[in-house]
Amino acid sequence: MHNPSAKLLIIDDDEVVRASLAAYLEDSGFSVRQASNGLQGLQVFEQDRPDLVICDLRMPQVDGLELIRRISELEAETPVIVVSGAGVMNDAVEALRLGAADYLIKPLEDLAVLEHSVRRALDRAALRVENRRYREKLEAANRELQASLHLLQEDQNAGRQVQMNMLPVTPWEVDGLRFAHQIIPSLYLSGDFVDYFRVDERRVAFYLADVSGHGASSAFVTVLLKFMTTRLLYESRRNGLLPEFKPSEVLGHINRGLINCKLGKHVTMLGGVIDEESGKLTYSIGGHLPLPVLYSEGKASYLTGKGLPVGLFEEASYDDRMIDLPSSFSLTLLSDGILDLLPGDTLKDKEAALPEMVCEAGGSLDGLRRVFGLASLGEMPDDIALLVLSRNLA
Amino acid sequence: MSTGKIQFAEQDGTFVLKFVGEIRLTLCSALDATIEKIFSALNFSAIVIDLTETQSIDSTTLGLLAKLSILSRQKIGLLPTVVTTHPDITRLLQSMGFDQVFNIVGTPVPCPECLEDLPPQDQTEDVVRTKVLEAHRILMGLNESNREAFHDLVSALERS
Repeated sequence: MHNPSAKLLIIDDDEVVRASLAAYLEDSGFSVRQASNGLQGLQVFEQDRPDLVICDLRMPQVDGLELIRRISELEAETPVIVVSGAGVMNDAVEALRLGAADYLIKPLEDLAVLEHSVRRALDRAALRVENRRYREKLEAANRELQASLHLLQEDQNAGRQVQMNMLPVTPWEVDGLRFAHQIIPSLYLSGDFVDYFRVDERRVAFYLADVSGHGASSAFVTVLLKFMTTRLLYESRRNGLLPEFKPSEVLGHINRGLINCKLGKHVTMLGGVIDEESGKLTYSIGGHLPLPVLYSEGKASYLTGKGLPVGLFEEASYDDRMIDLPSSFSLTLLSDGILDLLPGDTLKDKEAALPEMVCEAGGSLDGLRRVFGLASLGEMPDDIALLVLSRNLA
Repeated sequence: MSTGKIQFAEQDGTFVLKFVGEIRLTLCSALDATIEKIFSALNFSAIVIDLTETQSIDSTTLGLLAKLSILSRQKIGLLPTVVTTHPDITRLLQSMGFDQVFNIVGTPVPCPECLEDLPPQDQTEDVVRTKVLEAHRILMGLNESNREAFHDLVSALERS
């Protein structure tokens, strides 16, 4: 709504008409300025900046049309109502084309018509101003949002960079064993994590972990995992030698570490150690789905085992399983995000389908990428991690 | 939040939590605090968690369940009872090793002979089985006749 006591400027060389308009509009509550010709009108306009101008079309020197032009040159959005004797239609058209808010014919029989026109023009102008303000506010808010979003994205990307740097090289070959991984975060940062490394000259270790939740909060915990495992590796060395250790002990160590940190996050994980001398794999499982898939001689099957998730129960203990690794095999570790990509409606169906898909993929990570269409995934609800270790794969 | 909801009720000293639909608490781990609050406010002798109407459950929610198990052992020396009849949910709990920290009941109706291998607890095996049966019966009663006894846990959280 417009301001009821708006400032009006009446420009008319006919003093009688001008005074009567002014009197009427003042009675209606407006504050009114007057000018008797176009030039004077412009002066008053620039001085007082009225909210609306009423002007006669036919005036000496600067006529009404010229006045409208000049006012719009001043970039004022002040509405102008043109009042004129029954003149030529062209004048009316021209006045409206130049942006006049209304065109009234003299003599004005009923001044209420003028008042109505004034109020309507003021309302429209007020709406225009309000609209512009809203638009400017909205555009400013949008710009700020874009900037904030950009900042957050940069922040997330920087975080992602750090997370990428923590991940091992892929693919990585060591004494005929080949490791390869892929992690697909559902957001920028992932709560899934993998690592593999040489422990000493005869042992290689690896693990895959899925931190509860996803995104930044879960990614923090992956940093902690990397730190805990790395530190354990270095601190356990005595005179350059690492004593015998079991994956279950590492899980127990991480379990205590996470509980002591009180982060409110837990981890499901699979970890294993390969002894190259004996050809045995010892592994331990902490509440993880799906189980690892062993592929050899064209067949795929799940490894067995279970255990509590890591970082929830103080008294949790983990057990180790041992298998002889075939001369040619691949072992696929996956986080539960892969379940969203498996065919079937039930967990049972999905679990049944996975070994078949590993066979179809020939047991390799590239094969799995192809079978699951990982290159063209849309947005996924959960992080997906794949770790494939293999030897002599045909 | 998700399409799921978590409700709770209390009757005759049995505290019931019911998970309905898709439970995703990824961004709402504040439920921990509510659970603790409710626990300290109520006197109860058994906890039963009803997963019979649960479609899916995310890892954060599983963490919450684990917390319940720990609280229950501390407070009443018994593990909570989980009723699950949905094979996917049952499989998930099994894979997490939750059969070690919950009394898992896989039947919709109380069934004494189904309670063969419950995990060890502070009480004798007989006491545990009696408690589990009783909790299951109370849960059935609440589900059948007394739906208004259930309150929404999240609104309880918003009020607290």
